[in-house]
Amino acid sequence: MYRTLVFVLTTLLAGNVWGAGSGMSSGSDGFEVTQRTPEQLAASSYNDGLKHKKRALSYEQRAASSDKAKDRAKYAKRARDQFERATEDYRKAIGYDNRMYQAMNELGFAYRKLGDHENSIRAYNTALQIEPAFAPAIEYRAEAYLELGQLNHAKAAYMELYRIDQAQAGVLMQAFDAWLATNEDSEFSAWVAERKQLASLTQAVMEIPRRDW
Amino acid sequence: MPIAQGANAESWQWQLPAGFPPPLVPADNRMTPAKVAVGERLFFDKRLSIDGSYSCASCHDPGRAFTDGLAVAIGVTGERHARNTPTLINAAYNVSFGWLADAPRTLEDQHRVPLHNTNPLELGYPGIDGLAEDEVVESLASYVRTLIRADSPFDRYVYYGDQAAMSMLAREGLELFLSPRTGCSACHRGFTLSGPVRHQLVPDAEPEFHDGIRTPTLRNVAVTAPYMHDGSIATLEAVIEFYDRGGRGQPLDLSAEEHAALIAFLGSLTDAPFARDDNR
Ligand code: HEC
Ligand code: HEC
Repeated sequence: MYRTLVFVLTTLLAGNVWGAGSGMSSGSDGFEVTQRTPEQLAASSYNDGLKHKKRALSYEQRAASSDKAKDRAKYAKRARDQFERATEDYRKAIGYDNRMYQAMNELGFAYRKLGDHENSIRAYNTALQIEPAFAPAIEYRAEAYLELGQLNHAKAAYMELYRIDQAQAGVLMQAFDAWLATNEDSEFSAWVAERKQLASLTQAVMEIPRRDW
Repeated sequence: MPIAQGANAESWQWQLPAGFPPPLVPADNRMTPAKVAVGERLFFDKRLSIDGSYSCASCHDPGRAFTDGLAVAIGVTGERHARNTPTLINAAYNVSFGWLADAPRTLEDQHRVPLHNTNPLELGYPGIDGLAEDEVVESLASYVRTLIRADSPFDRYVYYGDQAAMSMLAREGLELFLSPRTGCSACHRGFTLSGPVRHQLVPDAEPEFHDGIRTPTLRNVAVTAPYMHDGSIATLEAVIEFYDRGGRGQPLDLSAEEHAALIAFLGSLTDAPFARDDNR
């Protein structure tokens, strides 16, 4: 009982629940916690996760631009720590709102960055079960497939994005280029070149509906 | 808050091809499954004509991608129309209807034309007991708005990555068609390969006319001969020769292979239900 209360209070704290308009008020029989809705709590945890993600990505950049091996290791470790904290935030968000596909998508991204491709793809799959047209998750999942060398899945994802969201298809195309810079696959390379040419060529004869997620 | 009741409360679920936006629908003729079903029956209903022998489908034959195979349309009494019958596939997106500039701007208005035209007499609509003309016109428009297709080899290749769908020659033709050298896609553009279109993303597109003629769609063009607003060109080969000679701009100086490539590309724009062995 006591432990659950502490948990609730700390999660409320983590969710910045003491902001304007809510919090505690004192009444005749003690403190009353004005609850926020599960959706608000989920959104707040999700935002915390994004903050950790942002920090993690900037540590990753610092690791990449460090000359000394020691610094690289130090920043890489910090990036991992931040990604781990992000996974906790997203899991918390999903605990509040089990249909929050955005959090599942970001959870997949954080897992991938931590090298856990199995959980990463599982998280993307759950997000896409809830919202099958969620292009950012299709794109992220394709990057996980790419890292696993599952090129047919990655290609299929590109075609799907090409049909529903050409901006996201362009993002995935950049990931393909980056992959090809360090991996060799002449068939995939030819496929990428052909799709790139088609994408620029066919602009004049298509109209892709845009959806802001 | 009150929620719309009655026929309009039935919701309509578009089944759109990849990359196609929903067409604009007038606020006073919302899509409903019931209207579409009535419209489809009316489209083939010969009671629309003066002697019970003609329907929309007499000129817009679904087996020919909703055209008639004639140079110019023939009305119910055998009179010749001045112009060729266009396809209705993807007509839902048109900014204006028919070939000419002083044309109706909505499908609803367009559909009153064959009902009442006397020059020539197209249908000679006598009226149908118990069915208001507005209902006829609105249902027909709802049905025609569902005639949206894009499952040609071109679509399978470009949108689905099916590399076997389009031959190498047709792909060369695609490149040539989109190149500045031919300039075809300056006029035949967008997902309908036609003049400007209108849909939920671009509500206020203006029509555009070259020599007074609206640029028609090239989708399904291989099965909608003869060609041009007056049906004056019988084959696609002859259309390409017309452009090659400088029919709409500079002469193109096409090689025999380029000529064949453009024809192969145009052939790849035929939707699956209209495909015949000789144009695959
Ligand atoms: C006599 C043959 C004939 C009949 C019958 C006929 N049409 Fe047409 N239709 C034409 C011709 C010809 C045009 C082009 C008109 C023009 O350029 O002014 C046309 C144009 C159209 C268009 C515009 C297409 C576009 O791409 O701009 C629509 C839509 C249409 N018809 C629907 C119908 C419907 C619905 C009916 C039945 C009520 C019908 N038509 C009956 C011959 C016919
Ligand atoms: C300047 C604008 C313009 C350009 C460029 C252009 N077209 Fe056209 N096209 C039109 C117009 C307008 C028509 C209808 C003309 C008419 O009916 O008399 C047409 C008609 C056609 C038709 C017949 C369609 C039908 O259903 O009757 C075909 C096929 C065609 N064009 C192919 C091409 C090809 C291939 C090219 C490039 C070599 C091309 N067009 C370049 C404007 C253009």
